[in-house]
Parts: sequence; structure tokens; C-alpha cells
Amino acid sequence: MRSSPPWTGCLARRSSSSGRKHRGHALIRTALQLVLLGALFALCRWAVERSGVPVPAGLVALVLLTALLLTRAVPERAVGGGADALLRILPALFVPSGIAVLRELPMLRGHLLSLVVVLVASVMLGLLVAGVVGQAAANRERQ
Amino acid sequence: MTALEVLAATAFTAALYWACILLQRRFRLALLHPVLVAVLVGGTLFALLPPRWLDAYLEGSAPITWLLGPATAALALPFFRRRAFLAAHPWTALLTVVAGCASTVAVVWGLGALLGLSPALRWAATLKSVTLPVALGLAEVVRTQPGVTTLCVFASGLLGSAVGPALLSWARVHSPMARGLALGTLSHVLGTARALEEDPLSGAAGVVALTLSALLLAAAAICLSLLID
Repeated sequence: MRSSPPWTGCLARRSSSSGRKHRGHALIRTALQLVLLGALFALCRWAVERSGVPVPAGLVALVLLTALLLTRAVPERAVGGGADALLRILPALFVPSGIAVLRELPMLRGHLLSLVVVLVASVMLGLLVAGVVGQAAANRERQ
Repeated sequence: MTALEVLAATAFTAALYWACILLQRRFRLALLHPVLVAVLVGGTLFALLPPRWLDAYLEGSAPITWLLGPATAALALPFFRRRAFLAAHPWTALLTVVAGCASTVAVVWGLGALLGLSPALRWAATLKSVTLPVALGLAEVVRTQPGVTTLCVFASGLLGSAVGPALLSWARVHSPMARGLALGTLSHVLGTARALEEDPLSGAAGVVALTLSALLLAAAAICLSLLID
């Protein structure tokens, strides 16, 4: 068995310590970007509450951030890591809202079957219409 | 809302979601979506406990629900990264999303009225094709219930991603762009994930479609709620 040269351990130690440092920096950067996204939402919420316009503050923040990115007022790297981290845990954030359905069971009583029929029919028809229109538009684009 | 409630609700949500991820990894079934299973298991558990436990959990999960706001803003990033798709096919994307949204909303309100669904349930069904963080914000605006809205959004996502590809093939929709746009419009993130499995172009189309469909339905819902008020 060939033994590794004596300096590789030292190199590995150095690279692992620089890796840790790099990971630490990336973590701080992501945390700061999360704070930035939170501040953007808080600002939009404040503006929406003050104006009294019935618009979800999150939607305003989405439109505003899209506009800032498209106009390059905010570079992608300034929020990209934080946004990706938030989107990775996004599904877990839905759990409390889903469990809240327990409080709404009386609303569903007697209407569950109708709701299921409406959901199935509207999803199927919507998919068919969107698909057929999309296919026709794609064919036209090719011509 | 006490610190203990926040801590307990956060720990419970994280543990439940993590366990459901492990379950899906073990069985690899689309129907075992971690959020759906977490909601069913958590819902059953709280149904068996005294009602004050559910009240305490929902109070304590307010910070988690608050995070949905910044997460909605974060959706700008995937859209921004696929902006080249929208720049290359603006009319195809717009036309498909408008057709998909208009037809699904027409069926919800028409068939819903025929079957006697209350306006609150019809609103929840209207928001089914909007990506969940936006749909929950809109549920507040149109005064429908967040829980039922969550279930409708999930039903639309799971149904579209399960039967959508076969349905589109049956209707002879073979263009990856059209398939991605249709799946993203009706089945948001879950449909887009399914479209991405078929083709990278379908995936990009899905991301663009889910954002456009959320914006379009949001604008329609806000205008209608203002008119009704």
C-alpha cells in the first residue's frame, strides 16, 4: 500500500480550514440576504397597511423585487443565495396553514363532493385548453 | 403568543415535515407529498387533542406564516433566471396562461354555481392554480379560508402533475413549451417539477407560467374583490 506524502495531511488540513471559512462566509451572506428579503417584505407590508389597498404584501414584494432585478438596481447575487435558501424550506411553511383546515371543517360539510367535482373538472379542462392553445401558438411560432 | 408556543410550534412543524420527507424518500410516491402527509398527520393529531392545543399551535406558528411573505418575494428569482424564455416566446406564454386561467376560472364559477358551492368555496377553488404563498395572501384579500385554499392548491398541483402529462399527450399536445406552460399555469410548482422531468424547456416554461398565472389571477381576484365590495 502506498503511503501519502507527509505534506498532504497539512494541505488537507489547510484546505479544510479554508473550506470552513468559506462556508462560514457563505452562511453569513445567506443570513444577510434573508434579512434583506424580510426587510423588503416588511416595507411592502407597511406600505400596503398605510395605503389601505387590498393587495397581499408578499405579492407587492414579488413584483417590486422582479422590477429591481430586471432594471439591475439589485444584482442577482445580492439576494440569490437567501432566496434559494428560503425557497428550499418553503414547503414546510405551508404546514400550519394546511392544519388550519380543521377550523374550517363546518364550511366543507355537505359541499365536499361538489368541491372535488369542481376541482377535478376545472383542472382537467384548464390543462386541455392551455395545452391546445399553447400547441397552436407554438406551431405558429415555428412557421 | 408566548415564546414557548413559538418554540413548540416551530419544533413540531420542523419535526413533522422532516419525518414526512423521510417517508417520501422511503416510498418514492408522488401522492406522499411531504406537505400533504404533514397536514393530514398533523390535522388528525390536533383533531384528537383538545381544541386549545390547535389554538396554541396556530398562535405559535405565526412567525412561520410570516415567513411566507419574504418567500413570496423570493419567487422573483426563479422567474428572473428564466426571463430569456419569456423574452423569446412572449405571446405564446401570455396566450397560453390567459387561456388556461380564464377556462379554469369559468368552470369553477359556472359549475360551482350549478352545484351550489358558496362564494367562499368558489374563491378557494379559483385560487387553486396560484402558487401557495401567493394564494394564501390572496385568500385574505378575497376573504376565503386559508386551510381550504391550501387543500385546493394541493389538489390542483397533485392532480395536474399526476394526470396532466397523459391528458396533454391524449390531446396531442407534444410541444415541450406548450406542455410546460399548461402544467405551470394549472399546477404551479408541482406541475413545473413534473414538466422539468420531461424537458428543460418545459421546466423553464413552467416557471414562467406559474409566475404569470399567479400575477394574472391575483390582478383578477383583487379587481373583483374591489368591485364586489
